[in-house]
Amino acid sequence: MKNYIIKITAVLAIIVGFQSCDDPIDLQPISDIGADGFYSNSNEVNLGVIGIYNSLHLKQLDEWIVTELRSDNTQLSFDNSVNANVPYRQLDRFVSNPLNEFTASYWRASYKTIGLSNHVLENLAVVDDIDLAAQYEGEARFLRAHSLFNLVRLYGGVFVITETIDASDARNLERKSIEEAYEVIIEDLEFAYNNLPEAYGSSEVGRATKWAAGAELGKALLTEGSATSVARAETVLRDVATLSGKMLLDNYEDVFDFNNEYNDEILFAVRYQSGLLGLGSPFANLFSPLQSENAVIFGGGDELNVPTEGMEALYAANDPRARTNFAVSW
Amino acid sequence: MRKILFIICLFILPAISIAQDLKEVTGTVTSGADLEPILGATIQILNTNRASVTDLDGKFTIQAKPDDVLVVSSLGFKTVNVLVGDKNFFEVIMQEDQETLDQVIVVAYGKSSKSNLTNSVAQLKNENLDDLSYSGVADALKGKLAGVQITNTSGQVGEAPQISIRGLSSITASSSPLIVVDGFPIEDALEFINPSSIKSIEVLKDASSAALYGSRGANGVILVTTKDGDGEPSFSFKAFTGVKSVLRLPDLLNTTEFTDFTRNERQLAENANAINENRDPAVIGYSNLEIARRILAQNTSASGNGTDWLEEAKREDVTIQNYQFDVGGGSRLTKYYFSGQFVQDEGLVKDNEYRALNLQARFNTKLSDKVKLGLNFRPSYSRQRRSAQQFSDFARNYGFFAPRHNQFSSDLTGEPVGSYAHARHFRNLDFSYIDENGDQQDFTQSSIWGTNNNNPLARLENEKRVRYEYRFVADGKLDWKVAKNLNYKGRIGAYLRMRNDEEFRNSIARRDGQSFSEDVNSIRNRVITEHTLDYNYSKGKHDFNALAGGTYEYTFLKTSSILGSNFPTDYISTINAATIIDADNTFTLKEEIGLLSGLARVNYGYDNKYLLSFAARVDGSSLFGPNNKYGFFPSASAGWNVHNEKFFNENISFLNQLKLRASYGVVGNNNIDNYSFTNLLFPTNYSLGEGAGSIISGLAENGDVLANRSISWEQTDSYDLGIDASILDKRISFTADYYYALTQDLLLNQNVSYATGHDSFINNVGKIQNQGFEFVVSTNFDFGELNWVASANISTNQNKLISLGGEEQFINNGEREDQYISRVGEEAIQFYGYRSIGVWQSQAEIDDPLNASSAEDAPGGIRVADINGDGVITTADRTTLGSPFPDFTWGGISNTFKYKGFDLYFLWQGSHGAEVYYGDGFYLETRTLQSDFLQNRWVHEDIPASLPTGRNGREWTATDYLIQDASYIALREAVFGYTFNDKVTETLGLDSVRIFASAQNLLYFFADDYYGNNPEALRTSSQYASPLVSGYQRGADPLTRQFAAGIDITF
Repeated sequence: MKNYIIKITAVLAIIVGFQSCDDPIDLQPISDIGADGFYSNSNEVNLGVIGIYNSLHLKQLDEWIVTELRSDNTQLSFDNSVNANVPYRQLDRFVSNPLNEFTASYWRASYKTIGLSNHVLENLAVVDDIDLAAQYEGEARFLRAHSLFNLVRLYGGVFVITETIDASDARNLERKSIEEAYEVIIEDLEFAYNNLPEAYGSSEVGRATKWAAGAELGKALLTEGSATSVARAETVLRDVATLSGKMLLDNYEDVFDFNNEYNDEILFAVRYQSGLLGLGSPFANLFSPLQSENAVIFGGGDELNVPTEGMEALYAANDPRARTNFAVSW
Repeated sequence: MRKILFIICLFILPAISIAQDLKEVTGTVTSGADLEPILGATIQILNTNRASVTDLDGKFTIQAKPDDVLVVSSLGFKTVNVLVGDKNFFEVIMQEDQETLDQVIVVAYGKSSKSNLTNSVAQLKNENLDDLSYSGVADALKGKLAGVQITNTSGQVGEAPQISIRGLSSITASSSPLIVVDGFPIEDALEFINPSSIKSIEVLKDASSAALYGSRGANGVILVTTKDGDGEPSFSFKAFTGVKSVLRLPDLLNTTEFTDFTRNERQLAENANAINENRDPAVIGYSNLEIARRILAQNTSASGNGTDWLEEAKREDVTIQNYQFDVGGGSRLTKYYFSGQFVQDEGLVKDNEYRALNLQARFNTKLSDKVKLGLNFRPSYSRQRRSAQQFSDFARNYGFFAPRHNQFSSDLTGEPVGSYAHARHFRNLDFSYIDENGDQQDFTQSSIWGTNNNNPLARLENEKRVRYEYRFVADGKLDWKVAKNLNYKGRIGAYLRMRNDEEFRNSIARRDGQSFSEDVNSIRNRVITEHTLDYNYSKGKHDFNALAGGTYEYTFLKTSSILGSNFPTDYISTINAATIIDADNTFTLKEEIGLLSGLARVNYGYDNKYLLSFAARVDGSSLFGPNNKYGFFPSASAGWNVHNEKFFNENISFLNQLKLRASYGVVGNNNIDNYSFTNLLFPTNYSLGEGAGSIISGLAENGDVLANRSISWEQTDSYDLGIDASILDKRISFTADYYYALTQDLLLNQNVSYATGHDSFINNVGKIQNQGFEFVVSTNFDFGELNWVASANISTNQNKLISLGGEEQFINNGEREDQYISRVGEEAIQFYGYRSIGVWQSQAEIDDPLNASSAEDAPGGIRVADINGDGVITTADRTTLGSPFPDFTWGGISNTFKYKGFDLYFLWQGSHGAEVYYGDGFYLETRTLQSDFLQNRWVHEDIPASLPTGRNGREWTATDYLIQDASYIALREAVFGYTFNDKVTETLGLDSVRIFASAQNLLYFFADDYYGNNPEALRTSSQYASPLVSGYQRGADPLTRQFAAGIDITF
């Protein structure tokens, strides 16, 4: 009998031993990383900064719909069926619908960028290198200001979010005045202008530079339009023009040559990458002609954004920019 | 003192001398099933008052004469009679009595006798689950348990039905009950358990019976207990094979009828116009389009009336086959049970097929008197092929052309003979025909049907969807009798499931000519350890039982997926041949879940009259947020066996049993998304660098859902009042229950302001209540050689939303313009839209300022009610239009008759008051082909019409026009069997032989206004967009009628 008790106890000990994990019910994600306490060094903060840049893709996806499509430059193609693409058509034709999905999705994308920027700004303390910390702060504030600047121009007074908020904070938000928004935009861009590097190493081309921030600052100041702002804009923009080393290219089409990305004429651009990496640009498919199969772009086109006749008429017959900007046949 | 003793002896002596031949006999009583001693068995000398009772070790002592007969009886066992003779020691082994087995009820972490039960548990013994020609056990349970609703989702074979117990207790999390097999929680067990291996199924319905399952008990618990072997090896073999047919198909016009119909409509319109214009009507001939359609139909179909696409969809011979083999046996020390099942089931639609192999091996052995070891293995394999196209995709295909080009259509279109024909091939074709005057007429027809899609057969035959599942359950248990009243049970087990979903699409399947192949593997691995101590104590009239234990469960999940496209050839479907690998759909993902629990229960009974039970569980789960890591789930219940009261016995003799019981408990639902408590960082890469740039890694908190650090289980508080009674020597028994359950902290996906950078937020806020009644009556009569067992149950459930976290209502959009409202104070889901009040006859009627209308309205369209009476139809006129929940279901009037060798079983079952959207009616083709939509539909302003026409006016799915009554009554199952008599079986050298024939849905009654073919299926082509969308029905496979025949041999 005693023998049995010893054996059984031994077996039980093994079984119990199996289950005594460190913390059996405090399990953290494996395939994702929980955000709680993640940022612990400058490399990890850098991942967050890259994440903000990535969020620009979401914003760009809709930006042309709420801006250029509504302009006289372009329109939804007449080849599209009348019942199709209704939200595009509404914006194109100035039909005001509060439920228009792009009105919401552009707003959403912009606040995503702002939220990710705030998240980085709140975790800068772990970055030991002072210059790097200033750079990350500058990038985050540049991108935050960029989104807020777009929002305030499209929607008027908006929520101005400068720190991470939770669900209950969000319920009690008040819209801020346009002036209050510009205060934050200009302050952010001033910081970015004063702290961002003038250029990056070859592998980091595409991050926001001092000159990108300066140009955006000038634009924001001019849009805000007060006398002091205009005066400040002149100073900043003159510096950008003379000191940045950026210039207009001799050949217009070179600006858009895909072998000439991020050329001297470009102060800042949202960057895409081909190769099914999830970083491709959607515009070629969105804008190419309907039923063009794979002739223009692999996967065919939706013809959602075509130049108006008025736009085409603006170009002189042999204007080299015309065929760079749009084609009339395929 | 000694003197007195002596005098007493003197008095006793004569007595001893009279009973001179009395001797003391002793013995043990053990159960044949597990060779465990039976406590409390009664040993009575036949025709005397002398009796004794066995002790804890099953031992007894009694005085008996050699010619006495010992009558050994115990609850749940067959009574044994033994002649005393000259033996002084008896080893009595009692076999379980099938007749009274229902007295033993399996409950959470143990067993109980029915008379001691204080909460609501339904039991289904496996009488004939394996007779019924289903491929899954869950289907066989339909209608047999009060309060348990089993819903088929698509009608396809191999699809697991949805099970819900006592209504809808959650709206975001799953409402599926926890399923526990022999103590092991396996959520999909009913999909792979061999029906013949099941001994009984218990359903724990109220919170007090499910409280020991804590945070997983809120949806109810289904306990499956499987068989064990004993005694001489016993082999049994059971096989059946069956054929299926379609119960009902929509009545569709063929091409001849359809073109006649459209021509006739134009004639009716012409007649009406002629009257208006005061002239004779012209005779309307066929239009060129109609002629083209008729010419094609005549030349591409055998009947000349066009292709019957439903016939193209249907498999020719639809069969089901099932083979089961069981071996069980054992000695005093070791017992074994092996079981195997192979099933092959075909669906009505081509390509839909299911086959499975389910095996089981179980060993139990006694290491000593006090220690038992058990091992159980349950491997399983299944393969399900799902058809890529649904029945309704065929039903709404016009019959103008055949699936493949014949010589005629090939000559006409230039497509090769034998290749798939699609509607778009028949464009801009030249037709010629001889008119009624004998003249040749030539014309060019631009199109016969606008669709660009490939025909459904081409898609069905060139898209393969296969799901393989490999499952393995292994568990070991150790029972140790630590001390006289104290038992320890330990268990360690593992459940591994590998699921492989393959999908391949040939280049000719779809119009775009793109081939692709997807391969998704998911592994779920669960390890569980469980330790319980059980203490029994009885003294006098007090019975006391206590249970305490702890368990830990760890679940690991891994999903990997690859998607490749652009295959150079359709001959290779594996992804090695793909030209492009899709990065977004190629990944691996891992997750894990831990659940650490402690549990305890105390039962107390006084004199078998007053019963009390308390149970509680503490669950700590990795799913819960750091602010809410542990949940506590207590319960209490009480019962009163009124029939054991003296006053009752004396006064009310016709009642054999009357028990009143009441229970209260708290249970939870932990089906929340993993890691909801933390914001996740997702890979957010970007391109940086000179030239084209290169990929740079990023990580950002850009999930759609904002974390909730306080996320926790949904909590259900439930009350149950019940009565159990039986009369006429327990031949008729009756159970009634009333329940009320309030679920709070409902998980709701609340929208949050986009300003947070997120879209939604899962929060524990809502409240929902469920209440209802359940009645079960069962009878068991013997009329000589005829035995009749019947059972009937009926249950009602009413749910009501109490709170939606501050919102008044949610409106959810369905697949089309159908909407669903969840409104506080009303049923959880109701259809929402416009109430139709007829058909608009004319534009003048619409324009009449006295009639409320909107710009959408047109003659021949549905006219809807102006609910708010403001004279115009706006979105404010939408109203509730019924609900997808049944008012009541009567799960069955089942009857079993046995007479000599014959047995007959049948089950009626029904559901009443549920409504569904007939979603197939969204399609213009269905609206113009299905005869239900055509009788007296609107044609002309001057011809009074009762039905709307095609796409005129308001979209039908925005109104109640397509909402139909899904009530039904079905003769669900019927089994007729014959068991050969001993003479025959002995000649064959077998123990028993039974042959049987069964039928499913032999009779089926639909509601009058239901147009579809399966009122029980509830789903669209895929899952509903939201859990608050229900009752939309599109593409369900039709109900089947099934006949099967089988044989059952034991040897």
